[in-house]
Amino acid sequence: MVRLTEGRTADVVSLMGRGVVITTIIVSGADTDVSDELRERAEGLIESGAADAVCFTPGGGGQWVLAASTDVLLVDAAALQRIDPEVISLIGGNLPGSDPRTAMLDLQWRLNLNGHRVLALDGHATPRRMATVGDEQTRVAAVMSALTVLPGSALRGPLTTVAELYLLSGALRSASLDTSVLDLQRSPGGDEVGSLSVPASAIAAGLGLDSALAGVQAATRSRASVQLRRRVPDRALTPLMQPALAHLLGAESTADRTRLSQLVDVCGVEPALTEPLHVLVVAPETGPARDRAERLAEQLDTGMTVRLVDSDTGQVLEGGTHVERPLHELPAWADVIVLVAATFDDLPGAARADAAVVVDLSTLDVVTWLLEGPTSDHRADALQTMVSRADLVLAADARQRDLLLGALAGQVRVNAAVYDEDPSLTSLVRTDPDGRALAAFCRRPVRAADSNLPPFVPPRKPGDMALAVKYLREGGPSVLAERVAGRIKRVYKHHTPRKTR
Amino acid sequence: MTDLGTAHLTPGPHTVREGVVSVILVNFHGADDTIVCLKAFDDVDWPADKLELIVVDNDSGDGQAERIAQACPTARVIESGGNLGFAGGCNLGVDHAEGQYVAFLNNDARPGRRWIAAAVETMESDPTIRAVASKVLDWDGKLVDYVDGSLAWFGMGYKREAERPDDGSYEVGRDVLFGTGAAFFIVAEDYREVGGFDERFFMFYEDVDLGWRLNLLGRRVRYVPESVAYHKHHVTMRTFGAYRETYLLERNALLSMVKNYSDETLALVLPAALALSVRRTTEMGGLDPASLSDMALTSQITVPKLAMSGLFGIDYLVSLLESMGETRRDLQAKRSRTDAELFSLFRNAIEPAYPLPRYLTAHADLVTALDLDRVFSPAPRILVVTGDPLSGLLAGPAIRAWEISVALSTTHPVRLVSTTGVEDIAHERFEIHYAPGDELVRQTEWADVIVFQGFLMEVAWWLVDSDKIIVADVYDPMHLEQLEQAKDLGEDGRRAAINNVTAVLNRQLARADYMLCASTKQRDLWIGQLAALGRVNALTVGPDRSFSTLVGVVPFGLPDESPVQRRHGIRGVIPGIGMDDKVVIWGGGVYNWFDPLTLVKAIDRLAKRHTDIRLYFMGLKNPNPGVPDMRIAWETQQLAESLGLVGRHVFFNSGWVPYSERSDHLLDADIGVSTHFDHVETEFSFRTRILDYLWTGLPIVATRGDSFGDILDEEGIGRGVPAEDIDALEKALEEMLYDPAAAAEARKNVIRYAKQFRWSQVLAPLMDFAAAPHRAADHLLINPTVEPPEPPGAPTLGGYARVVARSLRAGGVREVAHRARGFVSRRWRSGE
Repeated sequence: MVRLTEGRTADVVSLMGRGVVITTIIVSGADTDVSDELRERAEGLIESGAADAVCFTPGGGGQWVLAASTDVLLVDAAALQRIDPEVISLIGGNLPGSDPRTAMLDLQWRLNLNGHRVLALDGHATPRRMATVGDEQTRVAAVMSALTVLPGSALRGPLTTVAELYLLSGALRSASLDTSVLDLQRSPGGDEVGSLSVPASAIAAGLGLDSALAGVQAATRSRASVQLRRRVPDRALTPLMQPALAHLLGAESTADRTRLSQLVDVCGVEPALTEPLHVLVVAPETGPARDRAERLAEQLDTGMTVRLVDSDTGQVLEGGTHVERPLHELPAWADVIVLVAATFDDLPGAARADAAVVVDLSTLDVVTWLLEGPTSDHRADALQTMVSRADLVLAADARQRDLLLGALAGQVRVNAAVYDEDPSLTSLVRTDPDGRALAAFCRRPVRAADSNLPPFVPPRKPGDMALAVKYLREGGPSVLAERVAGRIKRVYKHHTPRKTR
Repeated sequence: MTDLGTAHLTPGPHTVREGVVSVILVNFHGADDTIVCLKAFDDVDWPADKLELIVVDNDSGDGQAERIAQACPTARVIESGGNLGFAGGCNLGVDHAEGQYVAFLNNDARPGRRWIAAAVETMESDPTIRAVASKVLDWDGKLVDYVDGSLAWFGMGYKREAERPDDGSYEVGRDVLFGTGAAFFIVAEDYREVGGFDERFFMFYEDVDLGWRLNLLGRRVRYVPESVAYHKHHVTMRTFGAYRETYLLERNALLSMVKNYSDETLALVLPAALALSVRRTTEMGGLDPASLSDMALTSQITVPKLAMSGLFGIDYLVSLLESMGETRRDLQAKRSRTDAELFSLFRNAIEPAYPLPRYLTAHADLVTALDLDRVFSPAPRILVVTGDPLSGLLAGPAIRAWEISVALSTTHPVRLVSTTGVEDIAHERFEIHYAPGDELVRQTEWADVIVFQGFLMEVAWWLVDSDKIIVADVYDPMHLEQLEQAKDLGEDGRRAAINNVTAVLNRQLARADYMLCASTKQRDLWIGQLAALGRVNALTVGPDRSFSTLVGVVPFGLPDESPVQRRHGIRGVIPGIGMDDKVVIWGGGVYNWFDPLTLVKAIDRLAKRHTDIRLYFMGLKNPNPGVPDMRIAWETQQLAESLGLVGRHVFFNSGWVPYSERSDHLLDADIGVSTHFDHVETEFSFRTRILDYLWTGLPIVATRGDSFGDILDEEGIGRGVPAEDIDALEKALEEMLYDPAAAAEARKNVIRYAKQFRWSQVLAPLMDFAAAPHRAADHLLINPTVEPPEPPGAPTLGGYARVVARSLRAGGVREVAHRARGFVSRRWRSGE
């Protein structure tokens, strides 16, 4: 059963009837046997906006997933816009050395990073068939590449370490290889022969790790691009991360998953995978904004760490206890920053932080606030900075919403990326009298659709030399001469004074 | 549960005998070597009653334990009952030891005469040193085995200097990350507290791990070159095959990393180290993974054991993860030094160490991908830039840049750069470059931190928008200086000069992440100017409101070494100045803000009573061609000439005395003098020449009103006189020159007072900043660099346009013309 989360209902309305195009992506070489009924159900979920992509996996059961083993993925084509096309090619097995199954997992993870949701329905997924050492090398290299690209800085190292140890030691154990034969401590020797006979399966993963090193540079470049444009913080995804890691590493059996879980535990990764989201709320010491901030903190009390910053005194509270941290260190700590009737001046560095930012002006009349400020243009500047950076703007009423929409438009925030994702623009600016939308956003923060887009580069007018080459290629010297002559005439006309009567 | 790491090191209690050294040798099938080693202690300079020799026999069999006991009855032989490896054997030995110090010596090594004494003296002389790494040479004492411990980022210790001739280059003691277990001392109590050698290592790198651990816990390990041992290398392992050694090295490197790196560093480097271990060993074993790709997974394959050593080592790590995790948690909770603090002890962490082509490619890729060069860089790279020429003739700014470079280069990679010229000058610790135009781009690109004086921001405009950490050395309030210096330029010229220099300073203050000034009074001036630029805000004002995070007080300093006179610079050298004359020295240039005229007049009066008085001007021509000849210098010569003093009582050096030779001149003087007019420049200036007087122990006579003039009487180091007061000056000079008691008292006080101005002390604020350099908080958080810095490669038309615009703003068309001239002449010189 598909479960709609709070805050999503409104989006469904806005998405209806917008002409969703669904793309079906199939893993190269998979046995695809998705029934018509299942397919229709998946399409319905995507069309309604309840999910951005649907996969089919044993035991799927309508759960949100970060990445699950599947042969087929149905996905809203709009969600693929920020995805590197190379990933799709890898799934289709169209590139040398590709591992389509790992690429399919990679794609789902990337969709999640971009704020799209992948739903798993119960279905068949073709088991991997590994026949040669080369197959295993390719798989391991693809897994290591995915783990280089996908997790954020805090998790990349620990997850990669766990993956390496799992893959290497698992293969050695499966083959029952005695790895103490080289150890003077455990195997005092007497055997001076310099070689060993081992099952190829025992060392294939190790050799795959070696192969992965060839892709380090490419994966690092890919990582830079993916991490720059991601819209969702890792802490919003960690509840889904361990099952995804299991799929990625091929830990499908209960025994394998137990071993993986033990490694996660013993390597000390468990705390990072269960760390709740960090929400930083900035509000004045008293008044309606303060009340709203405290209500939010109460609503988010379970499962999230909320710090409340007093914009008048700079004091920081967490669970009612004073926190001794310099103010400017807080933005880096936060996954979500909520400014309730506060500005970026109250939290230095927040405008540059990676966190999603909510500008909550729902306790203010914006015009009055602007006019009652200092006689300088300080508040206008502050508003400009806020609407330029905000991932969600909350307004007091419909009129205020229109006003803020104007401010957003003035900063080019009403743009194709935002509009295409949500033509109602509700996901960018809305009213929220009871604070439910705000709480929902904090539980699942997603940066705005236009955040971290590559800069717009206007097309350049071709230079004279480029035009000359173009004309030469198109028609030879005669065409070039003709064009030059034409241009001279135009220039001459332009500069000749017109005769008037 | 038995701790696998310290199974043979019991908690005690242990008997400890003060002053006794317990030497521990581990024997495994090496009785002949062990006996040679033990007998060598007969020649060691150390009292027998303070020496305990312990041999742990690792179940060698063949009656080896008995043979050793018989041959060396003074040694206690402990039979371990099994092969505990080097680590377990040492731990068992320490468990039986009673010495205040324990020493480990390989059984195939022998001690030098002062092996023990030098080590113990070092530990007793400094209680923060808890362990000593001996110098280890080969058996013949010709080649180096160990003089320093280096560590590659992937956990492998190595000895960079191994097999180099012992040519006298390694005779200076220093802190090291680890010593070699072949010859190593440690306070027994510390050894037991930190858990001794980790027995899970069995052998190899247990010494690296111990040293790394000691350093993490804040206990220093010191290389002591006088403590020498001689070693036959790896006699034991040769018997067992290379793959066993490689296996132990690979796995133990990983174990060391897992224990000792911080969470952050470990997360970054461990996955890379695991993959590299596989590649390194498959390549060492001649196994090409690509060649096996068509092989069925179900098939059986014969592989070299060596090729498996990495994989099997990783499997050992997996089997120990739980116990290693416990050790790691305990150790990390107790650590008192950060990884970054220890990286300098790694020496060169980005050392691949194995010359294998495929491995080297992977290593290079990983170093680039993870930016390991930056992570492990022992310290940020610092560029010191001066607008003064650098040569043997150094004036104030260049001296300061030089001394800053000397100090910073003890802890950081440093380059000293002049934008006007470099000639015949070098330093062993840092590079010196002349950096005009594009060369300046290259030099600034190299640096993480840039310390500069003067006009750098004008010529290196790309720095303004860059992320470089900029330290502006504003020890010279140039705009105040212009009030006097520009008087010769006419009204318009003076206005332009003051405006220009103020704009230059504003640009520096607006961009700098940290500033240096020469006195607390100067600091107040700069804080006022910073406030006007919006730089005084909650992020720059520290909790104590001291502004010390933004502006550091670094006066001019004195060399740490005492001055030495190699030859006379004045007496018997300058015609007219004899060996017994009374010499008054003017120890620097003659600029418009000084008042040498009053001084010459005072000398004229004194000369009538004291025929032996001599005034010597040390330099009229500043070596920086940018410093103009000034009116006052000419007037001074005219006055002295008109009074008939030149060549009799007043002497001018028309050139400049080389920096390294200034002590030859100063030590020929009886007193130092500095007189100036009373104005605002004086109030905020810091006279470097006064420091030279302090350095050479000269009593000082100077005008009051600047940072030194006001404390001369207070500190008893000379006499302060009012500006332009000939009577007072005459009296003060006479007292300091002709009252032996007063002069002696002043000299004594000068020596006391001068100590606080040693460069090593005055540069402390800069050294502190350099230890953890950072962008100013308000730049980072309020004025972020929104645009990427302009590419500093070949300047573009846009770049030139920007320079022109800035020059126009700064100084109008004249400034543009001046820059254009400079540009053309630079291009001309460089042949472009």
